[in-house]
Amino acid sequence: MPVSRETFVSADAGPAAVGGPPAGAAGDALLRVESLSKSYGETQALDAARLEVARGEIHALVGENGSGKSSLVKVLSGVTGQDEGIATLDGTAVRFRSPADAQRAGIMAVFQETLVASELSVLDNVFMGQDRLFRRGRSRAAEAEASSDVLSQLGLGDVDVRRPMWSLTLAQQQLVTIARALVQSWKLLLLDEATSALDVDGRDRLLEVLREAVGDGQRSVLFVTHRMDEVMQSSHRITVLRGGRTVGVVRRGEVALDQVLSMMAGESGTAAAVVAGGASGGPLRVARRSDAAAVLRLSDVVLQPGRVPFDLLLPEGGVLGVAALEGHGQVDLLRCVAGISSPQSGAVTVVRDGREVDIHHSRVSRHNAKQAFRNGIVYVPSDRKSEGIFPGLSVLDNLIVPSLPRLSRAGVLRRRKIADEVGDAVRDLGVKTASTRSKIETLSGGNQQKVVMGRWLLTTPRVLVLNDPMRGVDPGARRDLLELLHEASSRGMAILLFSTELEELLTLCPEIAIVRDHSVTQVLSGEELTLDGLIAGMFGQTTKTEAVR
Amino acid sequence: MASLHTSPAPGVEPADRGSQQTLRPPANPAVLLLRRHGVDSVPWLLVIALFVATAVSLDGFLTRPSILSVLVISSLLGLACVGQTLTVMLGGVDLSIPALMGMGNVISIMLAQDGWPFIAIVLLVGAAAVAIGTLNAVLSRALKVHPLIVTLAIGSIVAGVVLTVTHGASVNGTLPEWLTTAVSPVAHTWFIPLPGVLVAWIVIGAILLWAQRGTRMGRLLYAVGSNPVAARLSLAPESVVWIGAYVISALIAAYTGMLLAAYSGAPSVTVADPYLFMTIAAVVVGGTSLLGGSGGYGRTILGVLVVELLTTLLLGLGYSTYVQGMILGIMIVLLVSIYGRDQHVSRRV
Ligand SMILES: Nc1ncnc2c1ncn2[C@@H]1O[C@H](COP(=O)(O)OP(=O)(O)OP(=O)(O)O)[C@@H](O)[C@H]1O
Ligand SMILES: [Mg+2]
Repeated sequence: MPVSRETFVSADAGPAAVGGPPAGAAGDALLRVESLSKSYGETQALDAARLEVARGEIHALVGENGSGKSSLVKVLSGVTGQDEGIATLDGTAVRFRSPADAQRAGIMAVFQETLVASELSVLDNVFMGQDRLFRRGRSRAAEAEASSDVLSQLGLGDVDVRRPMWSLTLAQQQLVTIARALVQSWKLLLLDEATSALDVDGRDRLLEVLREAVGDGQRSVLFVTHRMDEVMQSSHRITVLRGGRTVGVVRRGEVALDQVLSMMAGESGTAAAVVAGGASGGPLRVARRSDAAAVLRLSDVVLQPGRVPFDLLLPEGGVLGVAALEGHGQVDLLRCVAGISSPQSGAVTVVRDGREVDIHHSRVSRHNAKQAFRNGIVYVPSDRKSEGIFPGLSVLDNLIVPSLPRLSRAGVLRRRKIADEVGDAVRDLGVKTASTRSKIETLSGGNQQKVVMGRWLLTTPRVLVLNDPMRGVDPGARRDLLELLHEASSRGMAILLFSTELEELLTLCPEIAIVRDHSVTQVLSGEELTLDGLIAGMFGQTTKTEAVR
Repeated sequence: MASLHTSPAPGVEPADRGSQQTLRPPANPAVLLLRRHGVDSVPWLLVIALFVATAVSLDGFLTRPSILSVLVISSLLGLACVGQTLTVMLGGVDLSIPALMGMGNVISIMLAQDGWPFIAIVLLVGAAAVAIGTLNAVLSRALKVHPLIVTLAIGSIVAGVVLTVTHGASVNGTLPEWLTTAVSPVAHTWFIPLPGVLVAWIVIGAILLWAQRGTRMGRLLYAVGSNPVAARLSLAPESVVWIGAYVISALIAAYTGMLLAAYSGAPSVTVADPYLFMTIAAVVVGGTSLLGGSGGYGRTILGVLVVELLTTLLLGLGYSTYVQGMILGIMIVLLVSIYGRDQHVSRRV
C-alpha cells in the first residue's frame, strides 16, 4: 500500500485515545520546533525539521540511522546550537547555550552514548552535576533516600548504591543515567535510545515509569528508539524523521507498523523488503545440518561457583542464539567462549583441522584471548563507546585494527587491499558516512555500531560471538545485517548471538539457549521457538524442568 | 545519505566545526585556512606569523646562517620530541627524556676522554637507552602506574647514577670531529649543504611521518592511545607498542644528548633540563592531545618551529629566559583551550 510522503496529524485533536489520552488540555503544546536546521560541515543533519510535543504526551521520535534524531535531541538539550529555526517551550522561544541552561528551563536529556563517571559510586552518578563545588548538595543519606524510589522503580533496587559505576552492566549503567534525569524536576524528558541495552523486563519497567510520569498531564517525554514494539505500545504520537526532515507525524493506533517503517525508509529498497515481510521480515533460520562437524564445544562449564554445569555445541555454519535477562551470566558465557574471561571449571574447545584446541590453556587470560583469536573465534562487544570504537580515528582505521596482520606485509600496510576491503565492508554493512576517512564519532550511533560489527567480520572468523551487536541499528539495517550474518553462516561461519532484541534471535537462530542463573537451562528449537516461550524461559517459568545436560 | 550543504561562497567550504556564523567571503588567507581546516591550521598560522614577526623585528634574521642556526636548535628539540610525541600519543608521557639526554651527553664525553672508540660509545649508550626505555614501559604497565610518575622516577635515578659514576667531576674529552661539525650551522653533510643534525631530523621526521600512517605499528599506536580497552579486545599487542614507543624515545633522547654534547661543549647531566618543558610544550602546541590517540609527529614539527621561533624572537628582543617561559606558558594555555573546544562534550554524547 503506498504511503503518502508526508503524513501529518495536527496536535489539536490531542493524542490518540488508545491507552488513554494525556490529561492535559487538548492542543496544548509543551514544545514546538519549527524548521530547525543543523549542519556538520557538509552534512546536513537536520533540514528544517519540525516537532511538536503536547503536554502529558509520550512522543516517539523515529527514523533510520543518521536521520538526525540525536542531532535534534542535542539541539533541544543545549549540547549543540542550531543553524536556523526556533524552538518554543511553554510558548516562549528558547535557545539553550548549555545543557545546564536547558535543565533550568525544565528539559532533561539522557543521551545515546551513556556518559558515566566509572570510578564514582552509583549514588554519585545519580546526583552528578547537582553538587556545589565544595559542599554536597544534600547529605549522602538524603540522596540515598531521594533516589531509592526511582532506582527501585527502574529495577535497580537490589544494586548497592555505593558500588562503583564500572561494576555495573551496560544496561544498569543506562538505567542509572535515566535515574539521573528522573530525580531532577523536569517538564520535558528527552530519552535518546535509552532503552537500547535493556532487556524486556527493564524496558517494561521504564515504560511504566514514563507513563506514570506523564500521568499528571503536565510533563512530557520525547523518546528516540528503534524498537518498534515500544513505539507501538507506549507512545501517543510518533514523529518520523528522514534525512533530517520531518516526513510524518502520526498518532499511534491510526497507522500500522509497516507504514511507519516505510515512512522512515522512503523509497529505499530495504524498506520495501521489510514491509513485504512484515515488521521484521520472515525468519532466516535454517535447521542445523546433522552432518556438520562441531566447531565449538563447551563441556561441563561452570560460570560461577556453585552454579549448574552445562554443555553446548556449535557446528560449522551453525547459529546458536542466547536469550537471557540482564545479569544472568550471558556476557560471562560469551566472554568465556572468546577466551577473554575464564570459566570456574569445565572446558571450552574449538575444533580445528580435526583437532580439539583448549581455549583456556593458559592462566593468563590475554593468552587465551589470543588462542581463541588464532583459532578464528572473535568477540563483538556491546558497549560500543567503552569497548568498541576508537574515537578520533577514521572509519577505515576503526575497521582494520584486528585485521592488521593480514592487511600488512612486513609491517607495512597494503593500502590498495585495505581500501578495497574497507570499501566493500562499508557498502555491505550500509554504513552511512561522508567518507571512510571521516572520524568515527561523526557517524550516528547506529552507524558506529555497524562499523564495530564490520571490524570483526573483516577478520573472516570461523566463530563469531556477538554480544547484542545491533544495539541502536534501525529496523531496516538490522534486517540487512541479519541477512549478512545468515549468508556468512551458510558459508560455514558459526555464530553465537546474544541479543536483548528477542525478534532478532527468533529471526536468525534455529536454536536458542536460555541462560538463567549463570547456567544454560534450556535449548529451544523448532516449534518451541516463540516469543512467549523465550520470555517464559528467561523468567524461569518453564514447565520443562529438564536441564540440558 | 545526508544531503550536501551548498555553501554561499562558491569554492569555500564552511569550517567543519567551530562557531556557526553566517558565511561571508573570507577576508584573508588565514581566515580561509581556519574555515577549511578548523583548529588544525592554528600551528601553521603560528609558524608563519612568528617567522614574519621575527624577520621584521630582528635585523639579519633573513640570512642563511641565522635561519640555519634556528633550524639546528629546532633539530635538537625536534629529535628530543620524537619520544615525547610517541608516548603522548599512547596516552602516556616521557619525563625521563632530559635525563637520557644528559646521560648521552656526559657518558659520550667521558668515554671519549678515556679513549674509547666512538662506535663502542654509540653501542654502549644505545644499550643503556634500550634498557631504560624498556624499564619505563614495563614498569608503567606492570605496576599500572601512570608513566608520569614512572618516567619521572626513572629519570631521576638515571641522572643520579650518571652523577655518581662521574663523581660530578668535570670532564672534557674531545668528541670526534664530524660530531662537532654535525651541529655547526655552516657545515655540510657529504654533498648536502646542511648540517648533519638537520639532515638527521629531516630523515627521521620523514620516516616517522610515513610510519605513523603507513605501518601496522603506526596504526596500533593510534588505536592503543585512543581506546586501550577496545585495543585489547582487538588483540592489539599493547605491550609491544608501549615498549616500542619508550625504547625509541630513550634511544633518540640519548643520541640527541650526544649531539647536544657536541653543541654545548661543556658536559653536564643537567644540560638538557630545559627540554622537559620544551618537549611537552612543542607537542602540545602542535596539537597532539595529552589524552592520547590523536595528533602525530607532523604536528610536533610545527610545534617545535613555533617554540624555537618564539624563543629566538624573544631572545632577539632582549627578554630574559623567565619572560620567554612565561610567554610560552601563556601560549600553551591559550592553545589548549582552543584545541579543547574541539573535544567538546557534543562529540562525546
Ligand atoms: N559531530 C558530527 N560531525 C559530523 N557529522 C555528524 C556529527 N554528528 C552527527 N553527524 C551526522 O549527522 C547526521 C545525523 O546524525 P544523528 O546522530 O543525529 O543520527 P541519528 O538519527 O541519531 O542516528 P542513529 O539512529 O544511528 O543514532 C549523520 O549523517 C551523522 O553522520
Ligand atoms: Mg542517534
